[in-house]
Amino acid sequence: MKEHASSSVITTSALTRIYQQGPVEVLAVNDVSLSIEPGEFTALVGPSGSGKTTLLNMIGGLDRPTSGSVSVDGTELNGLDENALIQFRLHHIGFVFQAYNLIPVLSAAENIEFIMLLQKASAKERKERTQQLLRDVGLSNLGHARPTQLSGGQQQRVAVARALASKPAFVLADEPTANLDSQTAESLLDVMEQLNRDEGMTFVFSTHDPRVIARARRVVTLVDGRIDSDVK
Amino acid sequence: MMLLAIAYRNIWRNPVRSLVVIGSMVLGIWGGTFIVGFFTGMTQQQLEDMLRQEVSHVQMHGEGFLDQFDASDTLSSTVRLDQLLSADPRVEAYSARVSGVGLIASARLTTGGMVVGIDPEAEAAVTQLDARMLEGDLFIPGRPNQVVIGSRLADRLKVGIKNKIVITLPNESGEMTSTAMRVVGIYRERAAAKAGAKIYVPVADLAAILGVGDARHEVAVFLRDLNDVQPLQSELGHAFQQDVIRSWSEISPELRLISESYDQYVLIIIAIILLALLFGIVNTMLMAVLERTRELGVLMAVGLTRVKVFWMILLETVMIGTIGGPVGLLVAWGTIQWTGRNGLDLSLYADSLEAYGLSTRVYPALDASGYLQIFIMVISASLIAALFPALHAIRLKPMEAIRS
Repeated sequence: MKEHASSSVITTSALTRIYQQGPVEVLAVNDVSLSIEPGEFTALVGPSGSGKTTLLNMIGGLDRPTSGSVSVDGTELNGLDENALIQFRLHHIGFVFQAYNLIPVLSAAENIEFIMLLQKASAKERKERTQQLLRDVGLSNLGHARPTQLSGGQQQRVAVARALASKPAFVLADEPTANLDSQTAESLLDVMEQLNRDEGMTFVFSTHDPRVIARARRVVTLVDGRIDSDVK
Repeated sequence: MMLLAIAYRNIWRNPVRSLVVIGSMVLGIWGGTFIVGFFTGMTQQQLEDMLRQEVSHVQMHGEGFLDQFDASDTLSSTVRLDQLLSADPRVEAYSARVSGVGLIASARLTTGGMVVGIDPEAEAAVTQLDARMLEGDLFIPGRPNQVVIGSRLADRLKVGIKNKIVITLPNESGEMTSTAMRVVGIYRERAAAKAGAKIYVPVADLAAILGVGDARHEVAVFLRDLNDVQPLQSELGHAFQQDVIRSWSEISPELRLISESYDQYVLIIIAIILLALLFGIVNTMLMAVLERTRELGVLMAVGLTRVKVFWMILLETVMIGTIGGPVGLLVAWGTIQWTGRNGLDLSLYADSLEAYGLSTRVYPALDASGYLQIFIMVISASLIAALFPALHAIRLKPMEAIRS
C-alpha cells in the first residue's frame, strides 16, 4: 500500500477509464488529475455522459481506473484488493446515492448503526453517535421508522447520516438531490452545508442540480471525460 | 447479531413468497415423512407378520428331514431341547412339531399339502394361530382325529366345519397310512403363505399316525429380541450338532432382502423429496437475491464484506428451513401418530396386498431417529440450496449492482 505525503484528501493523477461496450471502446474519464482538500464542498458537474459518476465511483473505490491512480486520505486505491477496498471504504468513505438505497428491513437508526457495527464500535458509542447523527440531520424523532415510512427527503437525510456514521474522510454524493422536490433539496443541502461548515466534513457531489451548484464552493466541470473548468 | 436480524427480516419482506416456500416445505416434508412412516409401518408389519406367522426366528429340523420329509428324520433329542429352550430367558415361545407331506382329500378334490402336528397352546404362543381362527376351534379336547385347515384350502376342498377329509402320508416305516379326520376349525390363510396347503392336527395324534412316539421333526423358536438370533443359533448348533438349525434370514432370504433394502427405499424417497425442495429453495432464494441486487451492491459499497454477504444469504435460507422443517415434521408426526393408532384401511386393495404378504390395515410408524435424520437432511438441503444464490450474491460488483 503506497502512501502519499499530501494534504489533499483526494488526489487523482492522469485518471482514465475506458469501458468496453460490445466492440466499441468508450472513454468515460480521460486523463483527469484533480486534488480535493479537506473541508471542500465540491460539485462535479457536466452533461450526461460527461464522466461525473464514473469519476466519483473511481474516487470511491467502487470502480478501477484503466490507467492513472487515485489516492484517498494518503492511500493509493490501485494497490488494494477487493476485500481491502471494502474495508477501506468502510473506514474512510461515506456514500450518498441518488436513490437513497437504505436497507429497507432496518429502521432509520439501525441503518446508521449498521455501519458502526461493521466497524465493531461499542454499543454505547453506536447508540450515542446514532442519536447525534439523527439530531444533526433533523430526524431525532424518526429513528424507529423504516425507510418506507419516510419521505424521499427524510430517507436522503438518513442516507447522509449513514454516510457520516463511520467518521469518513469525506462523503461522496452521487446526484443526491435528483429525486427530491425543490424545498426538500434545499433543506438537505442546508444539512450538508452545516455539517461541512461546523464539522469540516468534505463533500464531493456529482450533480446536474443548479441548487447544488449554486451552493458549492468549488465547481469542477467535466466534458467528454475531461476537466473543462475548475472554479473555486 | 444484526446480520441475523437482517436475514430474519428479509424473509418477511415478501411474506407471501416466503410463506409459499415454507408452505411447500411443510407439505413436502409432511408428505415425505408420512410416506416414510407408512412404508416403515408396512415393512415392519410385513416382517413381523411373516416372522410371527410363518418363519419364526429360529427353526430346528432333524437331519435330512427337509430333503425328503421322511418321518424317521426326527430331532436328535427333543427332551434336552425342551429343557434348554424352556429355561432360556431370551426365548419368548417355542413350538415342537411333527410334520409330514402327503395327500389331503375331500369328496371333491385331492391335493398335496403339509400335515403339521402341534400343541395348540405352544403353537398359539409362537404363530398366534389361535388369533387367526375364522371358524370353529383350535381343537376340541377329547375328540379323536380332528383337523384345522386353512380358509383357502377349505374353499378348494369345498369343506366346512364338521366335514371329513382324508389325509394320506408315509409313516416312519415308509408305509402309506390314511386317516379320516373331521374339520373342527378353519384359520385365515395368507395368500402369500410360503408353503402350499398346511393343515394342523394335534401333535400326539400325528405322532401316533407316523409312529414317531415322543420324537419331533421340527421346533420353531420365537425370541424376544431379534439381536439374539445369531447367538442362539450358534449355541444350539454346538449343543445339537446332528440337527439342522436355521435362522429366519436363512429360511426366508426374501425377508432379509426386505429388511436390508428398506433403508435404501427410505433414503431414495427422502432424497427425491429433498431434491424437489432443494430446487424450490434455490429458485426462491435466487429470486430474492436478484431482486435485491442493488441493495447488496450498496451493502458491499458501504463496507459489508463478501463473507458476511455470503453468511447473510445462508442464514436466510437456513431460517426458512428451520421454520418449514419442524412444522412439516410436527404435522407428519401428528399424522403418523393418529394413523399409527387407528390404522389405514386398505381393504380395497386386499387381493393385491395379500399377494405380497401385506396386511390390509397399515399402521404407519417412525421412530425419533427417523425424524431426526429427516430434519438433518432438510437443514443440509437448505444449506446446499443456499450455496448457489449466496455465491451469486458475492460475485456481484458493487458499482454494477447499484446501477442495476
